This record gives sequence, C-alpha cells and structure tokens, in this order.
Amino acid sequence: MSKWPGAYPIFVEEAKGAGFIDVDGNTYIDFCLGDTGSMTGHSPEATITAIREQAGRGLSVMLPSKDAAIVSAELAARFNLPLWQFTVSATDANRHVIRYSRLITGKPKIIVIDRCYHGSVDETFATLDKKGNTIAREGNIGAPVALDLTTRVVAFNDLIAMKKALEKGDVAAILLEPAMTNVGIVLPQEGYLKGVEKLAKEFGTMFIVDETHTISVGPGGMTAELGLEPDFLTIGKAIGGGFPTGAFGMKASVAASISKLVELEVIDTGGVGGTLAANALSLAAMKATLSKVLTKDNFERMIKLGNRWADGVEKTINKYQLGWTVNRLGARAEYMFAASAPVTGRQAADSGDFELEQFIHLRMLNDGFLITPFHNMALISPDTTIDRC
Amino acid sequence: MIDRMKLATLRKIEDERFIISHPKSGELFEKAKESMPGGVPCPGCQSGQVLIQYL
Repeated sequence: MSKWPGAYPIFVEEAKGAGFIDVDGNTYIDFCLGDTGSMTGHSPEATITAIREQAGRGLSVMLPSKDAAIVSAELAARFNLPLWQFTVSATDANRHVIRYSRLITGKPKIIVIDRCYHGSVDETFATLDKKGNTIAREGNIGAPVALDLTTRVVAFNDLIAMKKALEKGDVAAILLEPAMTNVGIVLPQEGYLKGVEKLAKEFGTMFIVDETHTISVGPGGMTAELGLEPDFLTIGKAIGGGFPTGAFGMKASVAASISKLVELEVIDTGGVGGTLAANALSLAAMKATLSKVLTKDNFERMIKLGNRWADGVEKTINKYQLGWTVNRLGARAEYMFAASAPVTGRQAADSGDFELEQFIHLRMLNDGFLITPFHNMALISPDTTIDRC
Repeated sequence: MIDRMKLATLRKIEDERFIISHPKSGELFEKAKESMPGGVPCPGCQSGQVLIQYL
C-alpha cells in the first residue's frame, strides 16, 4: 500500500508545523501530515508542552492519570457517545470493538466495505471477487483463517447489498468509515449512513463508525455533522497530535451489556486492552491536542484552506481538460483520475493509475510538496498558510 | 489518453533529480539496509524504488 516516490525514502531531519526538512536540507510543504497522524501540524506547541510536562511525572503506570476523565468527557461531548476507553492505536480500538460486538451479539461475522481500511485488523483485509464473493484482499499476508469465515464484504453506498449481507443473521458488527478515505475519498450518498444505522438496529448488529480520518470534517467528525448514532466509534491518529494513541466510545447500553458479560477476575485475558493503553503521556497529548489544537476555530480555517486547495486543483484540471475529479472532505481533498466522483471503493480503485500517480508524486516531492503516497490526498493543518496552499 | 512513453521519459528525469538532490538520504538508506529489511523501519516507509531499475 505504501509507495513513497523516489529511489529510496527521504530521511527527515526535522518536522514542524506544516512542513519538514530532510537530511539533505531540502524543505517541504507537507500535505500528507503523517497520513493524518499529524493533521494538527507537526509538533504543535500545546501538545509538546503537555508531553514535556508529563514526561517528568511518569510515562506509563497502568493506572489512570487525572487527564483520563477530562479527555473521555471531551470525546463524549464531541461524538455524543457517553463512555470511552483508550488504546495505543486506532487499529487496537477497531480490534477491541469487533471483539466486544461478538461478545454482545453472540454472532461470528463482521461486515466491512469493499476497499476499506481500518488499520492492520485481520478481519478487514477482505474484498469482493467478480462474482460478489468475499475473498482475501490482494497483498493480505498470513491471514489466520479464510476471510469469508470472519467477514462479509459489501460495496459502499449499497443499502440493498448491506441488507442482504445482514439477512443470514450471523453479523456481529458493521464497521465502516462514514466516508471512504483510503482508496481516494468516496463520499456517502444522501441517506446511506442513516440507512446502515437503521439496518444494523433492525438486525441486532453493532454499528461501528471509524472516524480516524473523517474527523477532518470538524471537531466531532461526520458522526456529529450527520447526527449519526453508532453503537461504537473508533478513532486515533490526530487526537494525539502525532503521539500514538487511540480510543473507542460506546453507548451506555452497550457498556452495560459488556459489563454483564465480562468477568472481572479474568479481564486481562479477554483480548481487550494492553499494558500501555491509556498511558499518561498519551492522555496528556490528547488533552492538549483536543482542547487547544483541534478546535472549532482551527477546523474552520483548515476547511477553508482545504476548499481553496481543491478549487485550485479543479481549476487546473478544467484548464487542461483532464477529465479528472476532486473530492472534498473538510480539511482534506483529493484529485482522482475519474471523470465523475466514484460512489464505491471499487470504482475509486479502478480509477487509479499507478505510473501516473508515482510520477506526479515524485515531481511534487522534487518541487518541495508532499502528499499522501498511496493516493492523491492533501490534508490541511492549522499551521498551513494561504500562501503555501 | 496518457502518452506512456512520454510519462516514462519524464519519470526518468524526476528519478535523476531525486537522486541528485537527496544524496544523504541515499547514504542513510544504504546503511539502513544492513539492519532493516528493505532499509526501512516499517512497511509504511517503503518507497517505490523497484520502479527505477532503468537507472
């Protein structure tokens, strides 16, 4: 998946704000921003101050720090889900909510979207073959079992397929990004997400929304923007300001179900958690990042600049009659080699052109601009300025 | 329609530009290959070097 342009990776000397310098002294404007891990801009002042202060007072104790309740309350307010747990990454958050979904529902399978990405979670590396069967995705290595044993795949924006996939009654959870972001941006059609939510409820299936990338639309992600009511919500990357962390939120009813089913005596072998989860350093980073960096005001600025970037790219595409399209998702935007915006992951994947993409990325890199390596996305940070966008 | 021959020519120019402007990264990459598979600390850092076999 990762394919940085160039004969070898560039080694970074220092990253700060919306840019970085490599070991050869070349400077770059960074529109990749660690593929969202540094959507806050590199080393935001508030976050690194909090990390410095906490670093001298304990890094990881496996007991809660006082920041834990502050961060969970902030996440609860943003995403309208009352109860939160912390992890080391969004991947872990996804793994944990899948386990909990199986526990609560007693059902074995999960549904994912064709060409999705949810971190290195075994069950999600599945795709559809030409006959519509669930198979392992190309490049998937060392899968513990055949993917069709754990997973059912449906196309994005296809409610009929979603219903059909649920009808066997064996699905514990639907896991999706509210807009696809890892195969290029694919936006949900009107009513799609609420339709999925309704189907999940109808079939007794947990509805999991992964907001790790889609938080680019605002402080509460697409969940808040669209009034979604997922059973679980997962997130990571940007909420730590570049420091590794993750979290998942849940409804009170979901937490109550878990509480009834989990035995406290053997909670450490439940497959959920981790020694370093909720470590004091990550909580300090999240507290500062959420309260001082990923703010409403900063999002407004970032989205405005994201639109400016998209407008400029669109203008150039039209000028040269390239027949490409630009998709927008708040502070991120993406050009795609397709005449109209794809509505499924498959359509987005089919519009890719690896040779062309690699050339454009390399040319941009040589000219001092970095965008996400495995597609054509640009992300705007609070430090990105109008003269550099 | 993309002219693939032209694209390959342009790519070669950019590959050469990259190597000329990134000598220290190149040196670090060579050194890194001694202790890390592919010269990178994790798969996410992998570059598209396989595409420059014509250099």
